[in-house]
Amino acid sequence: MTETDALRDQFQQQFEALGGHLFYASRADLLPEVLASAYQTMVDRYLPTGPLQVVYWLNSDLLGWDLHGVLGGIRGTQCISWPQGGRQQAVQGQWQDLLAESQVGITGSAWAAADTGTVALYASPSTGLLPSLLMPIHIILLNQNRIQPSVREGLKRFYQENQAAGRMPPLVKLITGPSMTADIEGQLVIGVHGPMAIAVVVYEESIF
Amino acid sequence: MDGQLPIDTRPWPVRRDAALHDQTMQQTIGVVTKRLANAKVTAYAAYPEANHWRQRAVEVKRQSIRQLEEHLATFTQQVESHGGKVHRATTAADAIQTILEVAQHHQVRSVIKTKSMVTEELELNRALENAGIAVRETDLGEYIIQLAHEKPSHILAPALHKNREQIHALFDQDALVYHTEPPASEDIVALTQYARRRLREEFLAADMGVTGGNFLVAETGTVVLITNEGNADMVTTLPRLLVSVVGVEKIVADWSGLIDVIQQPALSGVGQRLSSYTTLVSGTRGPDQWEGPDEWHVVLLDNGRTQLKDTPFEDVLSCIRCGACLNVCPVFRQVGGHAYGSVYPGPIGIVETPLLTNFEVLPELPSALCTLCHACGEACPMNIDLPGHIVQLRQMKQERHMNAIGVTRSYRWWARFWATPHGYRRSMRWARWGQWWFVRHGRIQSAPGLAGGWFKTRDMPPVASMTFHEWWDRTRGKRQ
Repeated sequence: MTETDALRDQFQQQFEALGGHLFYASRADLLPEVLASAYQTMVDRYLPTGPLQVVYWLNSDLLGWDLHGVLGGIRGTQCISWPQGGRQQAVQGQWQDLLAESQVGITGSAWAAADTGTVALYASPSTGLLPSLLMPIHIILLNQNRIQPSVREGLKRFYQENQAAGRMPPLVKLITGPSMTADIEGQLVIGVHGPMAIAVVVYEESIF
Repeated sequence: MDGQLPIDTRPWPVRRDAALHDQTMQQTIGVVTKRLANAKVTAYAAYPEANHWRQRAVEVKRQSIRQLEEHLATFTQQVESHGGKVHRATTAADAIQTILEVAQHHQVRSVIKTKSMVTEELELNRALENAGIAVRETDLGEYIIQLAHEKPSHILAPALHKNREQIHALFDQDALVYHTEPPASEDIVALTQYARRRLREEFLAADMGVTGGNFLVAETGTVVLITNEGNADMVTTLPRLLVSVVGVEKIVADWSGLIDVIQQPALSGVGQRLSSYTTLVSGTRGPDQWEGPDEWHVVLLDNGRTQLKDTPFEDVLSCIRCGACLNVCPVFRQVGGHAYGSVYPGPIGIVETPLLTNFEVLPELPSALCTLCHACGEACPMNIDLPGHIVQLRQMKQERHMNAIGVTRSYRWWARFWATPHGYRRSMRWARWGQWWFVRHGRIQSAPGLAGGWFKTRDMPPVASMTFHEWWDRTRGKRQ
C-alpha cells in the first residue's frame, strides 16, 4: 500500500465515523462515472423525491469540466456553475435565492486531514462557501494528493502557502462532519443549518 | 477596572431550591454531562498524541496572556490592514455602545447571532432590542432559550434544562407569531427541522451578523469560530456587515500557536477531534468575491479580565470555554447552570464571577457551590488551578469580612478543637456525652445550631463508646 493510499484509508475511516460518505475514483478516467454514482446514491437516499438542482464549482485541475453532461441524466438534474469572477450587487440577492432553492452543492476542496476527517474550503471569486452550506446535500471533490496526515500538518501548509503572499484568504472553512446538534435533550440530530448529508469523492491527479 | 456581569438577583437558597425541584433539568443535565465527560476520556485515549498537544496548548495560552498587550496591538494592525476595524472596550457598557453605533450607522433592522458567552455577558440582545433592532439567536439551543426568555444553563448546550414538550410549545407559539407552519410533531428531528426552516429565512434577510470568537490570532489577524451546527458559517458568509465580539484573553500570538490550541475545545468539551465547522475570518472580502462581509468590526472586550494579569489568578485567562469542568462537577450535575446565577456557571463560573467583578456580585459562589472534590482541577485541559483558586477565594472572603458572623465564629470554634490531636480527642469526649440528646434508633439524627443543616438530609453513626485511640491506650499502651 502506498503512503497516499494509507492516508486515504485513514481519512475514509475518520470521515465515515463522522457520518460522511466516501467514494473513490481509483483511475483518472473513472471520475465521471464515480461522481455520477455518488450523486445518485446521495440523492436517492436523502432526497428520494422532488426536483434536483445542483450548484457547483470545481478545483482548478478539473476546470472546464461540464457537470451537466455527467449528472443531467439523473432525475432531470439542473446544473448551475458558480459564476466565475466579478460580482454585481444587483444580482446578489437573486443568486442567493437560487442557491437557497437548490438541493445539492458540489464543490472542490483545498486540502483534507486524515487524522480528523476534515476537508478545507476557501472562499475566493471562483470558489464559494455557500454551496457547502445552504443545500441539504454537499458533495466534495478531493484530489487524493491533497490529503495531509493531520489537521496540524494541513494548517501548517495552508499557512506556508498563503502567508508568503502576505495575507490569508479572508474566509476559510474546515468541515469535519455534517451539520449537527445535541441541543434538544442531548440527542444527536444531523442537519441543523448546514447539510444533512456530506460525501467526498476522492480522485487521482490530472484527469484532463 | 472591575467588570460588569448580569446576574440572577434571586438569593442562593431560592435558586438552589428551584434547581433541585426541576426534574426535567436534573435528569437531562445529569445524563448529558456524564456522557460528555466520558466522551472526552474516550477521545483522548484513542488519540495518542492528544495529551502532548494539550500541554503545548497550555504553554501557548499562558505565554500569549503574558504578552497580551503586545499581541493585541499586532492583531489590531493585522485586522486593519485587511479591511477590518478593531475597537477596544474596557467595560460591557463600552462594548454595547460601540456595537449600537455600528448598527445604527448602517440603519440595521435585523441581526443574526452565533452562540457567544461574551454577548451573554454584555446582555447584547436586550440592548439591541431596546434600540429597536430585531435579534435572532441561531444556535438551536440559544434560539430555544431566546423564545423562552431564559438564560443558558450550560455553556455548550444552553437549553439542556428544556424537554421536547416544552420546546414544541415554544415553537408552536413562534409559528403563530411568524405565520408559518408549526413543527410536524414533538419528535426531536421535526423540532430541529422547524428551527432550520424558520432560521433560514432570518439568515437570508439579516442586515448584520454578530459572532463571538474562540481564538484570535495576532500574527494573521484571524478570528476563529467553532460550531457543530454551521450557524457561524451562515453568519460570517451571508450578511454584508459583520461584528465579532471577543474577550481579549482569546488571543494567541501566532499561527503555530493556533495549531496547538485549535482542537482543544472540541476534544475536551465534547470528545470530538474537531467540531463539525471551524470558520476562520481574516478580513473583509476581496473585490471580486461573492461571500463574506464588506465591513468587519472586531470588538475586543476587557470587562475585568486584564485586572487578573500578574495575579495568582492569571491562569484563569487561559480558559477556552470547553465546559469540561462543568461536565465533571458533582454540584453542577445536581443543580445545573441557572442555580449559579451568573453567565458563567460551574467551577470556572465560581472562580471568574467574583474575580471579574471584584466580589461585587454573587460572592456566595466559592463557598456554597463547591465540595472541593478537585474533579474540575483534573478535568481542565488548560491546567487552571480551579480548586486552589476556590480555596483562595474563600480566604479572600474571610479577609474581607464577607462571611456572616455566625459562620465565622462556628468555624473558628471548630478549628480551635480540630487543629491539635489533643483538642480533637477532647471534642470526641464531649460529643460522646452530648450526643445522647440527638441519637434516635442508634444514629445521630440532628444537631444544635449551624450543624443542624447537615442532618436535614442525612444522619450519621454516633461517636463510639470507646474510640480507637482510647482502646490503644488501654490495651497496647499499658503493655509497653
